[in-house]
Amino acid sequence: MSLTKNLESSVPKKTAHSIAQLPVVEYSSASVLRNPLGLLKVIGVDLWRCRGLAWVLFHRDLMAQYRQSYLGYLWIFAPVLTTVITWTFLTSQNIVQSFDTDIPYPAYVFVGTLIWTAFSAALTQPLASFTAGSAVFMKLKVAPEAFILAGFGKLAFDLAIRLLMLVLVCVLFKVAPAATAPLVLVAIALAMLLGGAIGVLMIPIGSLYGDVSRIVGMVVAFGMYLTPVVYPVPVAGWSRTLFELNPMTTVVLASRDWLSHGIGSHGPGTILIAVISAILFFVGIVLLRVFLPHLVERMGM
Amino acid sequence: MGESLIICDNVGKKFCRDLRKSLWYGLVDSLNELRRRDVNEPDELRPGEFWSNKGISLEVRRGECLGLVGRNGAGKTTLLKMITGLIKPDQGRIRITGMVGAMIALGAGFNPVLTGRENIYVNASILGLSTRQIEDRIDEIVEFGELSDAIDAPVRTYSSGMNVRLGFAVAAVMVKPDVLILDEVLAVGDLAFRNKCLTRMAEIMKTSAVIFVSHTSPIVNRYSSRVAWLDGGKLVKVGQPSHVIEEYSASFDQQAGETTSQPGWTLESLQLNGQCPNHESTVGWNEPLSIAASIRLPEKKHRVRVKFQFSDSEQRPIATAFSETMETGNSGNAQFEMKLDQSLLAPGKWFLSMAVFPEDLLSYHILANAGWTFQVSSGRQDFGADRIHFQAQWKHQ
Repeated sequence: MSLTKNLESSVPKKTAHSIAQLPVVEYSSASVLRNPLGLLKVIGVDLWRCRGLAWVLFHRDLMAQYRQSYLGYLWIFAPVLTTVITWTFLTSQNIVQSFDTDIPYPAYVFVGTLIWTAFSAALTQPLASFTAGSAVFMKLKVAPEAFILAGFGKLAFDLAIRLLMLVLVCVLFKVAPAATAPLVLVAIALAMLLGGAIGVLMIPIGSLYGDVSRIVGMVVAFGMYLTPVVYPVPVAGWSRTLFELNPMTTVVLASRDWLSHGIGSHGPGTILIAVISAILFFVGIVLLRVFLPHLVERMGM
Repeated sequence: MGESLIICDNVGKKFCRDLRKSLWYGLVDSLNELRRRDVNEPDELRPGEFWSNKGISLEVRRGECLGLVGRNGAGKTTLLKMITGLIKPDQGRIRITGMVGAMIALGAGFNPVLTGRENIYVNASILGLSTRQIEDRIDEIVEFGELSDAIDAPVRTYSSGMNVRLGFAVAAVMVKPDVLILDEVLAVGDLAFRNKCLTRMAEIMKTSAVIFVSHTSPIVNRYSSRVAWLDGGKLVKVGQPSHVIEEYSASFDQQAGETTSQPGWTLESLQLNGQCPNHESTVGWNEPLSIAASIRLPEKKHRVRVKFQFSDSEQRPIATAFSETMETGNSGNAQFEMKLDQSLLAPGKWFLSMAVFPEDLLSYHILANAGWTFQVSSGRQDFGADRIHFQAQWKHQ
């Protein structure tokens, strides 16, 4: 008996809540950037942890969105179809001069619109998701990235369905796909990355001031006409310079070439855009984290 | 008593009610953060700002439950938001050990179009449960919320009571947290469900450090081991629940005299056990209580009914004495007296109001609520949260 007693006392006591293994956090007015590595670690851990939540939110939004409608998922096609039909009508009736395109005009517009909506939707999605989720993370400690991620998921889902339609359009208008056609996926991803990066960067100011989303709405509507979405790049003049300064021009042109021609000369341009977008995206996520407590404080008024 | 899990050290937080200024300060603070500067002049207020929390120091250990009381806008929610890490303090430090669970927004993320079952997944994920953990607990959640009939119907068909029940059930079966924050969530659903919630909370409280806010004093009194009273952002007092709550209740301004009467009718005086009731008036539990009112009325006979009403410290009516019809003389004066041999009102603060009605009760002569108050005391310490205590005859074999 004395032996067991000795044994027991030599083993360190393990309680269910040994304080040594509990995480400790400290909150003070000190800037989180005083410990940048710590911040990155927190962001990394949170991003990894919130994947389950992001999936559930994505699932929720997807189910909720079309549960109250008869046509359901058909609505995903509607915006692309309207653009195609509008511009085909305008050009076929010579209301707008017809353009010399190397693939049939409706297919041309379809590809352009597909890529442009990937960009513009990814641009507005982060702020919209952040605002929609704010009711939750203003009261509970939840990673806001989960809501943004879920928004991107929803967007990717819509684009995937539209891609299926692209196949149909190619068959219908007899567009012979090149061997590089699968790269259209890369173009879509690139448009989303660029749009998403700008979108995430806008969240801090956009969530405080309503002006931001209105300005973005206007700029995006105008930006479509500075991108070869429904007509080609102008041959000359200062409008051509504007087109060339627009990174989305490269992405849209690349996507059409990849679909029906081949790799073309878009490699360096697209890689550069990808690298810059990725950096901006990362900066946006870090900035959001740095600003978050202040946003919660001011939005929670 | 376990280890300290919540430590607030001289915590302060500024707040600004002017929306434009507040947004601007938010931007400035964010940019300061970016420049790796701490809060700009932490001790000074900018135009339009005030201290929503100031100099708050407190400590909560495992197994302890700190009740937080104070009027609306006293800074309770701000403090809870800092403790959960949603917003940063402008002054001082907060140190939290262990997993934090907060029951603040019940049913966060509910989508009305989705079914109760689908919403459980969303809500529980927001609270940090994995899909597998949710699957393991979903039956328990449905059972706790007593929602098995409606769980596959869209949440927007739910009554508001069912809605909070679902929200509470999800939160209540989550992993046991080390630190639990409760913000006025215990008063949900009907009485039976409320009791179930309280029992559940009491269970969690045993192994966590709990801070909870409630405006229901008896609940605070019953569940807290200590109570902190917050007023104007500052801690007025921390200590034994019954003492702090008593002082807090006494701090309410006496209600301004709200006496209305018909022309010719006036309340001359009102006496409780022979004196005008005030903060110092004391009546013993289970001891005699008498109230006398003297009124002036038009000079003729009137057939009237008189009512005395007793309300608790939160001004909720608890007990009433209503007279039969009485006929007054025609002298223009009348006295009414009510006597109880044993008052069963429980210890604590009470408010008294009175009314004189005509016999048909279709109108009133006098409605008097002049903030009369008195204390009920007792030598016994075993009264719970209930406001009436019978003195019963007990038998046992």
